[in-house]
Amino acid sequence: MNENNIPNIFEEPENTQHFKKIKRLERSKSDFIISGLCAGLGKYYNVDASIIRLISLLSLAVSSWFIYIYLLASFIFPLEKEFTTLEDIEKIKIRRKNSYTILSAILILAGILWLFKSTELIHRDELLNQNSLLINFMYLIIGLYLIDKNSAEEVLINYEHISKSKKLVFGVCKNLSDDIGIDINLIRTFFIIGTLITSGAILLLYIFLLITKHKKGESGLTDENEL
Amino acid sequence: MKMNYKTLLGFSIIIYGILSILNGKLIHIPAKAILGFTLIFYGIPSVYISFNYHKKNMIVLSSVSFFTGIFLALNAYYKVYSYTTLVLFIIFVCSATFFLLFIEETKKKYYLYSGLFLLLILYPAVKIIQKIESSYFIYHYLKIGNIILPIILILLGISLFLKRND
Repeated sequence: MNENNIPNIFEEPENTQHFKKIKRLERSKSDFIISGLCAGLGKYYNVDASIIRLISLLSLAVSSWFIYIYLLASFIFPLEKEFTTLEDIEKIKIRRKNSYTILSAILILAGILWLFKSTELIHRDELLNQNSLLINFMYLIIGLYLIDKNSAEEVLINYEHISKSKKLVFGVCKNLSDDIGIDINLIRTFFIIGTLITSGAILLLYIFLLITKHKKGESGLTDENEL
Repeated sequence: MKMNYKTLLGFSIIIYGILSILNGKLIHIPAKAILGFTLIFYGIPSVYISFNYHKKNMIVLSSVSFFTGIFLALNAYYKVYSYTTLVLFIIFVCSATFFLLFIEETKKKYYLYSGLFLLLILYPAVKIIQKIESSYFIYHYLKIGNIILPIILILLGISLFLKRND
């Protein structure tokens, strides 16, 4: 509207801004593991995509039907058209976050299934159901998708950004973690579970590493001329 | 096409899918063996790629994947699974992984010594476990472990998930 109260037909009405910003459910192009559906859902509902991914993966413990729903939704919902190109550091951060989410989901899922089996509460064989033809075809589709998606650009996850944790007992796990580049929690868990399963044999390895570390002073295992 | 971990994973999943589809129709392979063969297929080239890119964490993953595949395949055909073989498998895999890490970085001698140490304790550990395997104590030990270990796994998963943004 101008000063003389004559409507300006070239002026954009105020309320069209509202229609422009209508959210659409689209698959994410920048944050994806398979098709970017979970990230798209996260953006749509304003929730962290990792939580949706975790819930989706954990739903496999209940039923494998989630896989079909996921594939169907991936075909139905389009890829986002407007997206910002991320810098390499951002890409690495997203990949690291996604790999952590997958790893944690696998561990939780394995723990739940193991618990189900050992307590014999629920017999859960659906996940490795060999007779389902549809699931087997789904493996083929996912495999082809991974190859196709990856042939376009070389993806090498940089694990140097794994956080350097503090030592808890003697620092053996910390040194191994820094040296090999595996998360310290995984190494600690390996030593605990390994010791329990092997009735102490892995504990001997821990002591061996500890002795060799202290034998050569404070420099730790990460020194090149160690031992 | 450049071969990297994701491509390799894609091929492995396809092989798993094809073998699973053909299983029971053209071929007859136990489900465990299919999983084993897939892990072996993933493990061997993955080690090669890891050496090329000098990625120690992937060397560990690849060697564990390869040996787990062998263990599953052997177990499927020869039914060798017992508590002793499980212990033997864990120690042997650790030892082999340390040797591979040593090959990757020969300057760090403690990889070699750790691998040798594990090989040395392999025999006495297995002998001791063979003796106590049939005992009443180990039966209860495993029974408790079957509940404690999955809980540890779940807690580890939750802790990893919580520190995903760090």
